[in-house]
Amino acid sequence: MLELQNVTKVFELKRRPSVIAVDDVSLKVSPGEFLVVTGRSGCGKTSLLNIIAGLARPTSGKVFIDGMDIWSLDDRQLSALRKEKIGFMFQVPSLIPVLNVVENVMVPTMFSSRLNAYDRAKKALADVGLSHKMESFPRQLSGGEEKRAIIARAIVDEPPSLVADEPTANLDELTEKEIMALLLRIHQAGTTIVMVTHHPGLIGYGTRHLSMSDGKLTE
Amino acid sequence: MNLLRLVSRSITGRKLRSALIVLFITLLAGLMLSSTLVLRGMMSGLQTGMERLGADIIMVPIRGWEPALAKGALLTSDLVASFWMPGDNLEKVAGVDGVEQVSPQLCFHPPRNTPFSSTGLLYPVAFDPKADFTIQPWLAKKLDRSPGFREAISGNLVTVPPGASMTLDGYQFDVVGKLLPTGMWLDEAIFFSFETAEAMMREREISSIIIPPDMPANSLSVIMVKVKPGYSIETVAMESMMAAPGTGAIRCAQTYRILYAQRAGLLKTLFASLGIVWVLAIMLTGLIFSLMVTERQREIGMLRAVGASRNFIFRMFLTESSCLGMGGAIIGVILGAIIVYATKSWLTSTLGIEFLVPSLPGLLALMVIVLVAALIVSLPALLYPAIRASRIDPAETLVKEI
Repeated sequence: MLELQNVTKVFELKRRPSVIAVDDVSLKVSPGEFLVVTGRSGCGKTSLLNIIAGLARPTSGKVFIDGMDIWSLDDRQLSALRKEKIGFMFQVPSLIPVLNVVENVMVPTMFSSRLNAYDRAKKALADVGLSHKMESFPRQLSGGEEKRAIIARAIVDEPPSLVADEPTANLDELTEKEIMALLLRIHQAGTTIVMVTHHPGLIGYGTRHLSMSDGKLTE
Repeated sequence: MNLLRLVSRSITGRKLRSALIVLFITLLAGLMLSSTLVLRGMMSGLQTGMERLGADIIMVPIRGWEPALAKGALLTSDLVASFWMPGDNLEKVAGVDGVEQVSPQLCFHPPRNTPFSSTGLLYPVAFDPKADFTIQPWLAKKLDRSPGFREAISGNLVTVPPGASMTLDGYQFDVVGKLLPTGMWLDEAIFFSFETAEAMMREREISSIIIPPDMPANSLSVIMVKVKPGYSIETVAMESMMAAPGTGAIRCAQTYRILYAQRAGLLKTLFASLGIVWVLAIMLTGLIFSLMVTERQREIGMLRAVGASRNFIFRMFLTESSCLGMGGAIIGVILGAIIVYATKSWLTSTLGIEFLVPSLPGLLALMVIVLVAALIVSLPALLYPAIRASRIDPAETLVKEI
C-alpha cells in the first residue's frame, strides 16, 4: 500500500518565484492497482512520482509505504526500503553506458541479499524479450529495446510496486503498444504500477485514472 | 556485480577519460618525485660530501681563504690550487693542543675537457696515504695497501676503472681504487701520493698544465685537521691559526652553512615551485574528480533509486578516484625516478648543481614516501568529490536533462 497524506512539494528558485509542483495531494494506491496519472508537461507528475517512490522529500505532508512513514527513516533504511518495495522506470535514459545490458539489469541486485543475480537478470531479460541483446551496450540499443532493458532492471528483484515515468516517451506507436503490453503483463503478474504520462491514449491500460493540473490531483 | 566490478567497468569503459586522468596524475607525481629527488639530492650531496671529508677543520693559506669563501669555491679546489703554505705548517698544526690527527693535501690545477671524467673536469690532488683520514675511508673497495708510486685513487665520476692506467699531462698513473659517490668535486678528483707528486715536480721542465710554475717546493694547499673529542673546534681553529701564521681555518660546519646559504636562493625557488605544484595538483585533481561526479549525476541518481545508499556512492567514487590517482601516481614516481637517473649528468652540468641520487633501497623508500605523502595531501581532492556525489539528490538528476 502506497499512501500520501496532504503532500506538498515546493521548489524554491533563486531570484524567481517559488514553484508549487505538488499541492496538498492525498492519495492511496492499493496493492494490485494500475494507477495512471495524466497531465500536461510541467504539471507536477514526475515530482509526484518521485515523492511516491521516496526519491524526493515533500515540503510538507507524509508518505507511507506499507504503513511506514518513509521520511522518518534514515538514509540506509530508506535505501533498503526502496530496493525491496519499488522498481523504477525513469523518463530519462538511465542505463549505465559502460555496462552491457545484462550487467545493467544486475545493478539493483548489488543491493539485495538474494542469490543467483545473473540467472535472475537473464530471466528478467527473457521476460521482456531481450535475451538476444544481453551482451550489447546501451548505445547499441533502439529506443524500445532500451525501455525493455529498463523494465527488466526494474523487475529483476521482483518488487511489489513499479513506478513508471513516461515509459513510452519518444517511442513510435508500435513500440509504445509493445511496452504497454509488457507493463500490463507485469501488472497481471501481481505488481502494483503507478504510471505517469502526458499521453491520454494510455489511460485505458490502467485500473484507475487520475488527472493532474497545477500540482493538484483530480479524479 | 559488485562495487569493485562496477568501478573497474567504469574505469575501463571510459578509456579516454581514464587515460587522461592517469596521464595528468602521472605528470604531477613524476614532477613531484623528480623535484623532491633533485632537492634532496642537492642537500644530501652537500651533507654527505662534508661528512665524507671527515675533517673538523681545514687549514688553508690565508691568501686563498677569503676569495675562496667569497666564491664558495673553497672545496672545489679551483682557488685552493693557486695558493700554498709552507710544508712545515703541518708539524705546527699537529702540535696544537686538541689536534688528534692532521693530513696534508696539495692541489694541482684541474685540466679542462679531460676525457677521464664524464663532466670533462679532473682535480689532481696529492695526499699522504699514511696520514690520510679523509679519502681512503670512502673507498668503494678497501685496499690491502696504500697507493704507491704513480698509483692513484679515482673519484666516482672518473671513467678510468681500478686496474687501468691513465696518462695525465705526460704522467702515467695506475688507478688502484675508486671512491663512493660524494655528490661533490671529490667525484671528479684523482688522489696520488706525495712521492708521486714530488716525482712530477722534479720533471717540471716538461711543460705542465697541472703544475703551476710558481709552486714552491715543499708546499701544501690544505691541512685536514681532526679535533680530539671534548675539545672546542673553535678554540683549536684559533690556536692552529696562531701556530701557523698565514693560514686560515675553515670549520666544516661553517663551510656547510656557507654552501647551504649560497644555494639557499635556488633551493627556496625550487621548494616554492614544489609547493605550488603540490597545491595546484591537489586543486586540479579535485576539479577533475568533481567534473567526473557532475558528468555522472544521472548514474548516481539511478543507483540511489535502485537501492544504493549514500555510503555506497561515496565508496564507489572514492574507490574509482583512488584507483585512478594511485595508478597515475605509481607510474609517475617510477617515470620521475627514471628521468632523474637518466638526466643526472645533464642536470648537474645545466643547473650547475651537484646532487647525490640515493641508492636503490633509498630510492624505493623515497618513492613510497612520496606516494603516501601524495595520498595524504590529496585526500581532500579525493574525498570532496566523493562526498559531493553521495549528497546528490536523486530526484533532481532523474527529471532534468543534464
